[in-house]
Amino acid sequence: MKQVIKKSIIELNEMLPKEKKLEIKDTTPLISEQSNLESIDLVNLFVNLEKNLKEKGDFILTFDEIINNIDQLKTIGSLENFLIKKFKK
Amino acid sequence: MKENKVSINIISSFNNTNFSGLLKSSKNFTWKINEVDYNQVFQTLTNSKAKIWKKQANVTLIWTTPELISSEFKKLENGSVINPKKIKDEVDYFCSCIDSIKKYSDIVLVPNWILKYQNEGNLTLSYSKYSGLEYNLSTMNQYLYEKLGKEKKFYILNSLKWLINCGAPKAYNSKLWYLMKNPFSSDFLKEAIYDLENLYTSIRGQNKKLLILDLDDTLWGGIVGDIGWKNLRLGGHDHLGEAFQDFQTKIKSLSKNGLLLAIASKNDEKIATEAIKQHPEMILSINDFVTHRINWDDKAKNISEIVSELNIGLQSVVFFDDNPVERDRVKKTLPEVYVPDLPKDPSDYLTFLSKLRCFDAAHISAEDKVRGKLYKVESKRTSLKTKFKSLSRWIETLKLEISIENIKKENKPRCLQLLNKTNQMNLSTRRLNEQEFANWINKKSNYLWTVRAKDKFGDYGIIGILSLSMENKIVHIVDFILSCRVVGRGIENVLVEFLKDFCRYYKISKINGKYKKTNKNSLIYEFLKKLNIINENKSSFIILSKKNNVDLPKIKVTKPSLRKR
Repeated sequence: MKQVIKKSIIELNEMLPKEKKLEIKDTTPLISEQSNLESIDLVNLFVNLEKNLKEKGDFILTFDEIINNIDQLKTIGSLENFLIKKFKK
Repeated sequence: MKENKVSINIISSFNNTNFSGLLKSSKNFTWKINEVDYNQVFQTLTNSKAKIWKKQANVTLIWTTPELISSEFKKLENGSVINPKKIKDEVDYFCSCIDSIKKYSDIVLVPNWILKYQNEGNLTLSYSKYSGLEYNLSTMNQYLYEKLGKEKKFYILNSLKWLINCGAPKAYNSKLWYLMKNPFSSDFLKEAIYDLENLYTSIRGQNKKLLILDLDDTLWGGIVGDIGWKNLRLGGHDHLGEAFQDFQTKIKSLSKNGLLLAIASKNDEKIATEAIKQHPEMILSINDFVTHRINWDDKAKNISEIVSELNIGLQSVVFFDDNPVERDRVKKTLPEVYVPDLPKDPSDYLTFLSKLRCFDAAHISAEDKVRGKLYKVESKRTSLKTKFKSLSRWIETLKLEISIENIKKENKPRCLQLLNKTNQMNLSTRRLNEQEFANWINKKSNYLWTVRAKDKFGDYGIIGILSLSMENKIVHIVDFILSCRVVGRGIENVLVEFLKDFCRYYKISKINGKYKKTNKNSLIYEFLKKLNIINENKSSFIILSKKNNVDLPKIKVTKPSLRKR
């Protein structure tokens, strides 16, 4: 899962200006007050994630699931935990 | 390394945030983006007072989807029968809107139309005139080419190619469309940026000029020295032989549009040239190559020699070799040479070459088409030079004739090439686009002459530019440009003498000049220093009408009238 998240963030970073690029570490904020990302950046991130998860093993992540679990997506680390939990089921 | 700053206006019918983000991250250019909210295409094109038009830009990109341009086309989406004439009128209107904003940028780029979603369509209905999406999309694109293709300032980008390169499933992202109103994936947008940057590089005259090729397993299959030319895999009923032949055909077509070809191969020269001349399936002939180095020497050394013989900058050179060790050697020794990694499978060579955009030319001049011949003749001259110990005697035997002419309309494309491509014998290295050039020469106080040359071997075409600016009898040299192909034949001396003629005619005692140093133009500085016109470590200099005597070799010179315009 770490690789999927890493790939998705690298793809997002390609489109972000220098000052907004995300550092790939567990504590980097995603959806929180400390985050520099705008809504359009988050859309891009989750679209990348969805695409890369599908490529990895046909894991389906819908946008509604993301919206309903925003509390669990505050940082890169919590995003990873959320995905591990979801696809373990 | 990013050197070039380019301003771009972006007007699009979909959300271009991702496109702009990727453009800003470009490693080749620093893009200064000026954009309007998406889906404001006609509102912006028809409003000459819109904020976007306040500053002149280098590029305007107008990127739309077909249903925005034609309401009639949109009807096809729900299966309606349409009136094709109405589609034509709507495309006409769109083109007239584009025409009205052309003055606000140097060039206008318009990607041709593709659908904003992946459409398999109905096989038989797709090409129906009155209800087929594909039929009407092709028609719209055809009108677009007809209307915009006539104007040099307009460039139509082939977005269908981006779609093919990505593969349709990867080019579109429906989620991005529904969430963000951007139908295209990053991969697709990157293809668009790749094309856009290559086109812009070419317009600036910075595309590659010389392709140096290896022979064994690059132009044909097998080692000719081991198996003999009759056993090479080239053409015939052999899949790899056909692949090598197609690769040669593509290279030949590039050479017909001005790309110079040379050979750098570790081989026995006699055996290799015999293969080129004798093999019946060879597409490239020995005459297609301006020069060659077929020996057992280091390839980097051979490439350096070829570049020096042809007087071409290393940054204009591309080297193809199947052997990764040879490629690595050249990459490390000559980092300015572009050495792409050829695919391991020769069946992929043609596709690889087609995707390589560094040879793309925005315009092809008459000089481009005969460039190979000109350089071949140059090789003959060089070999004659070695026979004569005295330079002036050698120049005499060339029977050189030069003609200095006032700028003419038909010579403008060549002038622009010289301005934007010449690095070494170039005083100011100023780079101008078509509009800037036109504005400059239209100013009454500015003078610009072209220099043509020919000798007993052939015609060089236009090989130099000289320009001055004169206000209140104070004259400044703006351009002193000479193609490296002809430097060292006394033409530069004739040009200095011509500047003095200008002074005498207008009764001016001196001409001011300024040498703008770059990494590549020490050649002009050394020339001026040799004539004692410029002092060591100085940039400003003066050419006095009565001093700075220059040695003039025996050259027949035709000069223009110097009367006031």
